[in-house]
Amino acid sequence: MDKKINIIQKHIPYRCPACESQKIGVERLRCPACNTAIEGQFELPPLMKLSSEEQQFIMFFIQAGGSLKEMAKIYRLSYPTVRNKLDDLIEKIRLLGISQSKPEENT
Amino acid sequence: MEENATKIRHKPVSSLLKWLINPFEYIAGWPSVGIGFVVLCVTSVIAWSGSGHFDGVLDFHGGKQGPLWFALLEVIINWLALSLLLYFAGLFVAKSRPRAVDIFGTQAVARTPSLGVALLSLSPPFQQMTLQAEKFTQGVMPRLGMGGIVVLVGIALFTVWMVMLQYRAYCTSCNLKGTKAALTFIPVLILAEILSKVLIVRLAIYTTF
Repeated sequence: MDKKINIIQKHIPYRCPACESQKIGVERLRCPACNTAIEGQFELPPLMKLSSEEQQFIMFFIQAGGSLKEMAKIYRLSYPTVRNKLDDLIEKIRLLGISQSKPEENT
Repeated sequence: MEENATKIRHKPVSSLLKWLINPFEYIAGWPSVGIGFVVLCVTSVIAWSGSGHFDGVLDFHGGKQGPLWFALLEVIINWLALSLLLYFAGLFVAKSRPRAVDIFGTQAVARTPSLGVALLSLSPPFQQMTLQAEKFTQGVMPRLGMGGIVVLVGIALFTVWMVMLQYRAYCTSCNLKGTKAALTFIPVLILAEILSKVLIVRLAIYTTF
């Protein structure tokens, strides 16, 4: 059975390459299907402010059902190492000031 | 998870270096307890066969050969003394509660370089130094040849490597870095050395020799 290895080749920069600011945003979106372009000031979603490796970690964490043991198998790392990565990521999200407000209830 | 779930590939060269400097990125928990315990026992037996023993967290001495069970108890006391104190330190200073099995297991594996110390103690220069040390009490000055110097340097290097691994094990198990890690590890190491010496001396007093 072929084992697929995900290799991320392109990613949206989350820091300005000129001044390292994390306030970088999106000004233009384009639909390749109908060639419609949308211009404005769009703030990057909170998760986009993380590096590609951190986003990948979150994706794997969700796919693993929140199991750090499964994550240790995926990353071939020890349990405390994976837990430390998660703790560091939680701290980074807190420092980014990502809102912890409760999700809106559907009426 | 699917059978062909994504696996992260690590670069082989950097993985090899990490295994030597910080193997605890790859091994912790119950597997490290099993492997580490075997390492402790093997190390103790090898040292005992050359009349050496680890009579403290950082100590190693040659001399009169005691019973094997005592030499084994010594390494277990050394391991448990440091692990227990580091666990309590981790409970106080770590952001998230460390797992005891990670601390005890990684500390056991961290003692792997003491295997090098045990092997060096079997060498003729070390055996000669041990005999000379015994005669020192009778007024005979010991002579340290080139072989003895090489062995002592080797023992020092293995000990430094072991302490480095013990520190890395503590940092990984408790997710500590920098100043906080160093400022808690050093006093705990000193306390563990004192505790292990006290326990081993008491054990020697209350047993047959």
